[in-house]
Amino acid sequence: MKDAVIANQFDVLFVGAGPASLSCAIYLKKLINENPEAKSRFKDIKIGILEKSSEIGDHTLSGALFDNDILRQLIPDFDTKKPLPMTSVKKDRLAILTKKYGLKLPPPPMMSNKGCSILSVGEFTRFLALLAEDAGIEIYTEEPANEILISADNKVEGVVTKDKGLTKEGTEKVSYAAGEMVTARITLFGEGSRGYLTQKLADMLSLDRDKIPQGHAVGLKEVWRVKNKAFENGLVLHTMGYPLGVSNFGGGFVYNYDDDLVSIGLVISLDYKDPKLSTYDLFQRWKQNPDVAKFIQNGERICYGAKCISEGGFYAIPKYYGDGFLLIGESAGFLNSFKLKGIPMAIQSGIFAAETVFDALLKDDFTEHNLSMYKRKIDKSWMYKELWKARNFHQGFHKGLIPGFMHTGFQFITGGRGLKDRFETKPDFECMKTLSEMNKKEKEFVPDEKLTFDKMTNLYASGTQHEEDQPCHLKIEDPSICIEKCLKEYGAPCERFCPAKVYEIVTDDNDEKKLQINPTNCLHCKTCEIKDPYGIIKWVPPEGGGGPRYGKM
Amino acid sequence: MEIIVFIKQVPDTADIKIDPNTNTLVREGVRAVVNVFDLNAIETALKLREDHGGYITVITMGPPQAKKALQHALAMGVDEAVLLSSRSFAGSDTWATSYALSQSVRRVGHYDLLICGKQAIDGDTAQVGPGIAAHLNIPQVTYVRKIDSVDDKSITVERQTEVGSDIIRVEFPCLITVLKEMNIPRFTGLKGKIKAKRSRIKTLNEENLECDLSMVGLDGSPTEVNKIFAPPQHKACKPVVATDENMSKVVGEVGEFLVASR
Repeated sequence: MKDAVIANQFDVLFVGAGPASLSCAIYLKKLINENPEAKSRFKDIKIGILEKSSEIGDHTLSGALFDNDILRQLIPDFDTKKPLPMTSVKKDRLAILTKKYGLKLPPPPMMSNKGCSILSVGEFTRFLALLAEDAGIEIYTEEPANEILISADNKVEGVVTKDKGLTKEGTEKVSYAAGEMVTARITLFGEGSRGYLTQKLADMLSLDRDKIPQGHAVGLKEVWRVKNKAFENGLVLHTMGYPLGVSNFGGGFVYNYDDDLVSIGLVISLDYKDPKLSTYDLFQRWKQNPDVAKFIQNGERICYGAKCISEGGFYAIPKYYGDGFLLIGESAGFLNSFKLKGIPMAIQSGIFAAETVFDALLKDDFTEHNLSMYKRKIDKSWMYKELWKARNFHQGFHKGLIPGFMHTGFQFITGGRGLKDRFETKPDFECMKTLSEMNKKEKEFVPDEKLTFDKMTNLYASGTQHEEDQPCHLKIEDPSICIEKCLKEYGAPCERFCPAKVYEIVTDDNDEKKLQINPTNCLHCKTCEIKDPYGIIKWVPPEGGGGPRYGKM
Repeated sequence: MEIIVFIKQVPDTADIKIDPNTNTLVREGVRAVVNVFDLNAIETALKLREDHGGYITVITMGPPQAKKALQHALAMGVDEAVLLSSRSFAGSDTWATSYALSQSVRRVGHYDLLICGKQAIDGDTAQVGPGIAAHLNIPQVTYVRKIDSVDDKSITVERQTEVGSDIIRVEFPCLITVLKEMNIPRFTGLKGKIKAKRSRIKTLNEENLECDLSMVGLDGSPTEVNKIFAPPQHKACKPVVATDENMSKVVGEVGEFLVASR
C-alpha cells in the first residue's frame, strides 16, 4: 500500500451506504441547514460515504416491513409527497406449518404489523441515496473500507480503502490502484450485520468486553412476480414450524405487495446443532408447503439472495461510541430480535447519531466523552425499551422451541426478565454437534424447477459477480483442518450452510478429496464465518464492485 | 499535446434485457457504464500525456446521467469534461451525433489528437469516430492497436488489419479509433473519484453550442431503423457426425434442414 493519504478530505465519513448511514447523513445535513449559524459555518462541510458494492441497493436485503412513524421523522413530508411506492399491510397472518398443512392464526398483539408498509429495502436505500446526493452528500461506490486508521491513543482517524487490480497470487496488474488512506474528524460504521471493520474495531478496542457473543441468523429470500388467486396486495404471512422442526429457531415470511410482487424468505437461526442442516434446502422445502406454495404459483422468480441478521439482542450489543467513531444500525447490534426488525432501529440510531455529530461539530469535540451523548439518546428512547424487553428472547430458544415458548411466556409477563437474566450463550459456531453426536438421515432434495430450484440456478438470479483474477477473499486459517478433521467430524458442513455454493469438496485426479473454494459465487452473507465449527474462516471484502446485484430485494 | 477523447455511456452488457413486446433494449433500471473501448481511449490519452505532456478533454453526448461517465473519466485523471446534452440532440443517429461532437470540438478550439473507442457496444456501428473526422475534414486512422511514436507534428500508429497491421504516420490534427489491444485501462482510486465529484462539468446545448439544429436530433438523422429483433432461439441442436461412408446421407440431411428453416 502506497503512502497516499487523502487527509482532511472529509469532515464526516461513513462506512457502508445502507439505511443507517444514509438516514444519518441526510438528517445531519438537515440539522445543519435548519440552523442559520451552522449553515454558514458548515457550508462547505464534506460528508462522504464509502460503499463496497457497485450501485446502491446491490447488497441490501430484507423482508421488509417499514414503520411509517420513523420514516416521517426522517422525511416529514413523507405522507404528502409519497415518494416511494409502498404497500400498506392490510392482512396480518401467522401459520404454524407441518410438511403438508398449516394451522392459521391471527398474530398475537405484540407481533402485529398493523401500521406498517411493505417495501423493498433496496428501493428504499436507492431513494435515500438520491436524497443524500441532492443534499450534497458524496457517495463513493466500489470502495470497500479495508482497514481502520487509529492513533496510538486509540482515536479513530479514518479508514484505508482496498487495493484494486491484484491478481489471484497477489501481484499487481498493470491497472493496479493502491488502497488509499482517508481521514475524517469522525467515522461512522454502518456496515450492517457482522460488519468487517466493526469487528476489527471491536477487537482493537475490546468493545464487546463483558458482552455475550453476538448471535446471528441467515435469511434466504426470493422475490417473485405472480399472477394467481392467492395473491392479496398487502397480505403479510409469517410461518413457524416446518421445515425447522422443534429444535431450530427461525421462521418464514411471505409478503404480497406492489400489486404483483411476492417477497418470500426463510430465516434460520445459526445456533442450530444439526451438522447436516442445509440452509438452502430448508428454504426450498419450505416453499413446497401448500400454504406457502400457493403464493408463488404461476410466478416468475426474479431475484434470490441471502444475508445474515444480528439477533443477539441487548446483551450482545458492543460499546458503540468512542474517540472519533460511532457504530450505527445493525453494526451496533441494534435489531429487535423478537420482531426481527432492524430497519427502524437503523434509521433511529442514524437520527440520534446525526444529532450527536451535529453537536460535536459545533463544539469541535469528537472525544468519547462528548460522543457519549449518543448512548444517552438511545437509552431514553423506544429503541432501549424494545431491546430491553427482548433481551433474553432469542437465547430462551437455545434448547428448542418448547422451552423457548415457555421462556417467552415468562419474559412477556416479567417485562423481558423471564426465568434467567441474563441468559449466557455460546457463539453460534460452537453449537454444531459432530456427526457422531447427531447424524440424521436426510433425503436428498430434488427441485421441481418451477417453484423450487437448485442452488446454481438460483445463484444466477442474485446477479452476483466478482473479478475472477483477484486474491480469494475467504481466508482459511488452517486449510489442513478441512479434509483431515472437519470432513470426518462434521461432514464438511460448509457445503450446506453456505447459500451460494462457494465451498465444495471435490475429488482430484489422485482420487483425493480437497476443498474447492468458488469465491466468485459469494453473496457476502457472512454465514460461513459465523457457522464454521472450527472458527477458521475469515471473510474479507473482495475487490470493490463485486458481490450480488440485488434489484428489488 | 492537446487531446480530446469522445466517450459514450452505454448499458452494462451483464444486464442486457430485450423487451419481448417491442424487441428493443430495455434501458430502464439497467445500470450504465462507460463504453468499454472508450476506457481504452481514455487510457491512451493518459499514457500520451504521461510521456509527452499536454491536456486532455473528454466529451460525451447524452442525457444528464451521462455525467457519471464523465466523472469516471475525470477520476481516471483527465483534465476536463464536457457534456453535450439537450432535448434537441435526442434521437440522433451516428451522422447527427458526429456532427454535434465535431461542433463541440470547434468550441474547444485548438487540438492535436482526437481519440475514440473502436465502437459503442450498444449500436456497434463504429461510425461516430470516422464521422467526426469527416465533419472536421481531418485524417483518421481506425482500429489502432499500438502507438509507435509521437513528435511535434505527427503520430505513428499500428492499424490492425485482417492479415497483420499497417504502420501509418499521420499528421496532426487527426483522429484515431482504438482497440482493446491498446492497453489495460487503469482503475480509479478514491482520490480521483473525490476530485471528479467535486469538479465542475461544462454542459453544452443548442444555446451555447454553435450548431445547425436541422443537423441534430431526429430531424438531422438520415438513418431509419426499420426493425430491431433478437435472433430467434433454436430449440435443440442435433449433432451430426459425417464419415466417408455416410457423407452423402449427411449432406442430404443438412440440405433438407437448411431448406426447412428458411
